[in-house]
Amino acid sequence: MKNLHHYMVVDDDPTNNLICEYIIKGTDDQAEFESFIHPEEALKAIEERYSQSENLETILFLDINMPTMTGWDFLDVFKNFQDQIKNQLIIYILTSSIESFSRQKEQYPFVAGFLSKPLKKEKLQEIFAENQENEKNEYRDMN
Amino acid sequence: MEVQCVGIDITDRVKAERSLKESNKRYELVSKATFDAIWDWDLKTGYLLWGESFQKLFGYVLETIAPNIDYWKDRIHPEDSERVIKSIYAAHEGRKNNWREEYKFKKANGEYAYVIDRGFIIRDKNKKALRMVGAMQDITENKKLRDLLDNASNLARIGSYELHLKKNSLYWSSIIKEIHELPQDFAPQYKDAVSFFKSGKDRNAMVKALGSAVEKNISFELELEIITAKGNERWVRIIGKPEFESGVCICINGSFQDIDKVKRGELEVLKASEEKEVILESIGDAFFALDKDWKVTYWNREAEKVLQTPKEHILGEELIKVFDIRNTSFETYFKKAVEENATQNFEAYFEGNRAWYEVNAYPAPNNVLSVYFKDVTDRKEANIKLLELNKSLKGYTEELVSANKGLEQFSYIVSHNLRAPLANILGLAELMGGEEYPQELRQNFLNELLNNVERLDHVIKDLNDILQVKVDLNAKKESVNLQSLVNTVESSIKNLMQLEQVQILTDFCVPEVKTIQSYLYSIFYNLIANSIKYRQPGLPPKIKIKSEKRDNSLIITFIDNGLGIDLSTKKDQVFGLYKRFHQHVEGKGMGLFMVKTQVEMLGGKITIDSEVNKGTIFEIEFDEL
Repeated sequence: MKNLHHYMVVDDDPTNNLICEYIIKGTDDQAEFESFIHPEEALKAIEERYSQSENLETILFLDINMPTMTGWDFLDVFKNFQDQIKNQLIIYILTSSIESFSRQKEQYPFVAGFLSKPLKKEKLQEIFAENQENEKNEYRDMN
Repeated sequence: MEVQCVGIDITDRVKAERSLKESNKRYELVSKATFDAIWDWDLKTGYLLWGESFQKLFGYVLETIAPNIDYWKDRIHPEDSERVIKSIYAAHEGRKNNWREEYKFKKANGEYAYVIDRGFIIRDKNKKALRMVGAMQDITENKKLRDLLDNASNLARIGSYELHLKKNSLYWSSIIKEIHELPQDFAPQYKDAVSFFKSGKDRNAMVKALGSAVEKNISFELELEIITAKGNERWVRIIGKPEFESGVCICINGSFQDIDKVKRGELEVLKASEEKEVILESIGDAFFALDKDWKVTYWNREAEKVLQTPKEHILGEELIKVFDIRNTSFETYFKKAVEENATQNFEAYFEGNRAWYEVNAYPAPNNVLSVYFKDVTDRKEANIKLLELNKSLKGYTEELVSANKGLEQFSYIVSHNLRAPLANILGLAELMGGEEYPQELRQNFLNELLNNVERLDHVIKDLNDILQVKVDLNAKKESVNLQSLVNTVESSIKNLMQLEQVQILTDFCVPEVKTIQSYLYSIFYNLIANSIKYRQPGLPPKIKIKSEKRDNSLIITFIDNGLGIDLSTKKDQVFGLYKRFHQHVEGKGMGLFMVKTQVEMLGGKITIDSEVNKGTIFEIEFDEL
């Protein structure tokens, strides 16, 4: 059984981060929540922290539209991280956009899902259930 | 003269002879004075006396001549003999006193002489012929000349005729008979002077000419058509000259020539040229022809119309002297047609007439040029209008495209900037409606809620601004002074300028621009604001604005000493809506989007060049000054 109580949000919009924090905390009592307004800082933290750990499975909610680095830019950096890091992160795109992102879904197959803002309890429970049942093999398959 | 003879004895006869001789003496003078052989024939006795000229003319010795008619008869050419003898006896029986015959008469040396023999009959009171006197005229020389003439005439197909009014007779030479395709023994009647002419105009003309000749002594020369005995139409030239005697026309003679071949040839040429003329005149195109010296040799009616120049004014003139086409496409193509011997088809504008022409120039041998053309000004103008219409259609399309781009931007706004605060409001509402939170947190949620409602409001206001730009499409262009525009912008952000110690330097080589003032103001305002906003910390913003002319374009350049943007990754997004590249300043990401939109609406382009921590250069290019 995986330890699925780590959550991370990367979004330049503090309101969204606030909403995510309380939705997550309201759904998962044991949740450990962290948010980043600057994606650059988030990447730095991930690279440092997850190279030191092995089973720190974390659900990451990533925004797309950010001024200095978009969510796609973030993913482009992230995919070059070592497998050890990548295997511990389950990334969901969380965006206010109502686009379909079909092209990006192909381009970034390791993204677990695309969610529309705001994050809701029901959605979070679905994600939680999904990840309890299935072994995550995506990063292994990719390589 | 009258001779009465009585007596039957020889004495009487001798007496008679003597008296005849005496009376003949009276003829002798005449005889000697003329070359004609005079004769006197007593019909009662059959005695025939010849004048002295008989010997001279025909070579017979007078003493050897038998004084009777048989001597004469025996010497008539067998061809003529029967006719002539018959005719002389017929004359005795008839009522007329004149007799005339032409025949060949044998001379002493055996040759035949052509003679005209004229006689006068003396009758008694019962009209019985008693005596006949006459004269033979040797016309051999005449005849030979006439034959020569006939031969010559034959070659020229010229015959002669004589229409004798007094005698109601018509003489035709053999060639005339040939022309009429008649046998040589055809004897033309008086009426034949007109009967062979084609009925209608030709015959009427002949009748009229003869009438004038007879009545007014007017000669004629006509070219008319006859219909030959075999039914062929034939052109002839008939020349006639009336002869008058004491005020009365006695005959008309002249020549009759077959000119059919010449005439038909002529007519064909005429017809061909008429046909050509008809074609050239009737074609809808204007046409003219030039000779090797570019002199106008033909100028049809349509050309007169199209170029408003009557042919009298241009025929024989050099084209260039009437229409100055030097250094025009006309000259170029005309020369090319002649030099390359190739048809040239072109459309060109002639300044002199302010008209467009579609021209076909056909070279012909000897450097002759045929030029067909038509005025296509209307079509051309329609084309130009069409082009303009097309251009404006293109403009509309571009507008639509840009409107579409605007829509794309709109969808972007909706999805990100409208939906982002909305999603936040929804999220917060859900949180607040659920669990009990501490008062402090609730207040936090509430603040965020208000914050996002405000964000929403801003986006809607921005949307309004963007839509406003699109609506102002039809704003009028006016002359805008760039320096005063900068001054206006400066005064509107006076406080900010003072606070940040902003320095704006201008260098307007082109001081004024014809444009839509509000757009250009917005462009200047946003670019200046952008430079101030993204200044380097601790460095007072310095903005240099220039205007200059470059290849018919107006270039306006903004150079600042600000933060700059890393274009290697962001170039595509610089002018996008709600794009921001810096974290430290509050930017809506709308300024450059608005600038680009408005520059494009003014028909210009904006480009950026930038280096991080050095500054940014915006260059705006307007095609039309």
